[in-house]
Amino acid sequence: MLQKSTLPNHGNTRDGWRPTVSAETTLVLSNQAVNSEYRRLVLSCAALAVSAQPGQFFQLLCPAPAGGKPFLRRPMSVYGTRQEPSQLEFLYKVTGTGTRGLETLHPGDPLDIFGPLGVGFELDPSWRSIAVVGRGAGLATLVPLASAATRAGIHVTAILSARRPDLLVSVDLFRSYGANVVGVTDAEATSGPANVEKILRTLIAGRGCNAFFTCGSSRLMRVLQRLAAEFGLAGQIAMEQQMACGIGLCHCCVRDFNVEGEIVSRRVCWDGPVFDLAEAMP
Amino acid sequence: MSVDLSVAIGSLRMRNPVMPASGTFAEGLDKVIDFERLGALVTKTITRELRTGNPLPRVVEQPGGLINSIGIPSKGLDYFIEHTLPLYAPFSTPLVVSISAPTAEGFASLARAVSVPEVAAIEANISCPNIEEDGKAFAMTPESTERVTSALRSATGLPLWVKLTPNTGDIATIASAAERAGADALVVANTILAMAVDLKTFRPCLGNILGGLSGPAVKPIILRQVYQCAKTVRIPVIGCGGIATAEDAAEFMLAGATAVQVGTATFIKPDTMVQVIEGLEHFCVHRDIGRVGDLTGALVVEESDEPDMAWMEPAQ
Repeated sequence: MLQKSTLPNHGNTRDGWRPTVSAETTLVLSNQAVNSEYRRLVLSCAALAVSAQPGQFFQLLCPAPAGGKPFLRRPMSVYGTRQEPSQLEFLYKVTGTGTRGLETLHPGDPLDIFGPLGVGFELDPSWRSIAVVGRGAGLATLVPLASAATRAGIHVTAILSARRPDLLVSVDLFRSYGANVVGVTDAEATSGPANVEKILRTLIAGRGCNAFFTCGSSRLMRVLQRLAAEFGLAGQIAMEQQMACGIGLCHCCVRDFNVEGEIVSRRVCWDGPVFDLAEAMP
Repeated sequence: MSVDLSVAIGSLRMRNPVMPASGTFAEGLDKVIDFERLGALVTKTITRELRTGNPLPRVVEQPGGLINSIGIPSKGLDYFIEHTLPLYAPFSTPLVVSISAPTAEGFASLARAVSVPEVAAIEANISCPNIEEDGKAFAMTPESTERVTSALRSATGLPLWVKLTPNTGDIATIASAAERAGADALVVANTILAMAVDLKTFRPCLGNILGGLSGPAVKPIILRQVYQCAKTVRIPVIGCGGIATAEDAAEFMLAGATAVQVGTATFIKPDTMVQVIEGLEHFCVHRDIGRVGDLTGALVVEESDEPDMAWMEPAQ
């Protein structure tokens, strides 16, 4: 049987190879509450990290909060990037050990981040108008997409859903990208699928809509899937799942997808986190 | 001073003793580290048939470690040969294929099927359930270890590595059985059977209830098992359990390992393997050791200590 022969070197980096994903120690610039639930974290980072595309994510090595120590990294989608100087932003809600650790960060603290990871959103330059529909922390994922769409000359209608009006995040940010923002909330009884469907039908009949983008709610996902099928629209969804490695090694973050009637298991971290809306399953 | 980092696992020469642990490595890591720097590449365990894997959640973190119950999802042998093998063709680093099967004959036929020129060695993951023995892992008893290793040995001319389970009371006896049946090397070891409970819901934290613990939490236990196995067998032992730093790797080599596998640490620090390689070189330079292989089994144990260790021998 053929054997691989002894190699002449001690494993020097091969010519031309460069990492396209890396772990780096960033510096916290700010970490402040934006409302009663969400916090915005701004990091100073290297140029590679700000090459992140809308919908991509990073694995954060969160510091240990009192009474806990996260062993794994925590995945978090990119909320914003800035060039020269390179800055990266995340929006998070304190829910568990990892985010409790993030809450303890102060300006000047180091934070180890690994990324950019996964497959992000794709925009077709021929599109004229898209709708982004998000709920809760899912809104953060859609912000860089709205920014990219505006830069590409695509009009954005943003339907933002939350429990209460004061928890709607990023409304001003979406507006600054020229998006037409419609806030819907549980408190005002406007966030139900029927009302969101009505808003979308009005959009399709009026300005028109080429594609749907969504994150954060399986209830809204089903409305979008139905309308996209009815009107033959493209659609993409950013999905979440508990992760370990974040780069396709461990198969812990799988979800089922319906690919032309066949149920297929895919890794959210590697095949996604952005998937074809039509194939997504709750 | 230049250090010779190369090691030999039987007939297989490696440029250094560091490779991934099966199940914690895939082609995507090429975005982060250069595969040409590693001692070997080790695939995720493949099976002949399609397997979907276990119900979610598949991992739960613990202080200093991780319990997983992924369940060996596999796209099957044909997919592996057609799609996975070519991904590693561009690399000169030896490719080790991890295999699993529910029967000894299943192991043998799969080993035969992956004995192709692109493959440098086979790692038989015999920590999986043996359906011919009520689902008990092959590596739990010397008899079934010997039976499956013999079947594998007859099936392939490739270097045969046998990966043992740490979940047995007497791993050295298992190691001997594998050596006797023709294994070229032992990988010591797989994950330690474990469990966690969610106190909010009263449910097990894992969809499969039980899983395998890995990470720094298991290192002292697996280090002890490497020591016990390396003392017992003449074939090389590859250490695998909680290695996250070059110092960890050096400990395993001193305890008797010829090479090491890095697994869970890659999830936390994705370039761990490269760090371990560089760190081992620095360690050798610092200690004036010319060949990293000189670390293997160089543990200093006073003769008079030996009788004091009789308590750890298994009861007969």
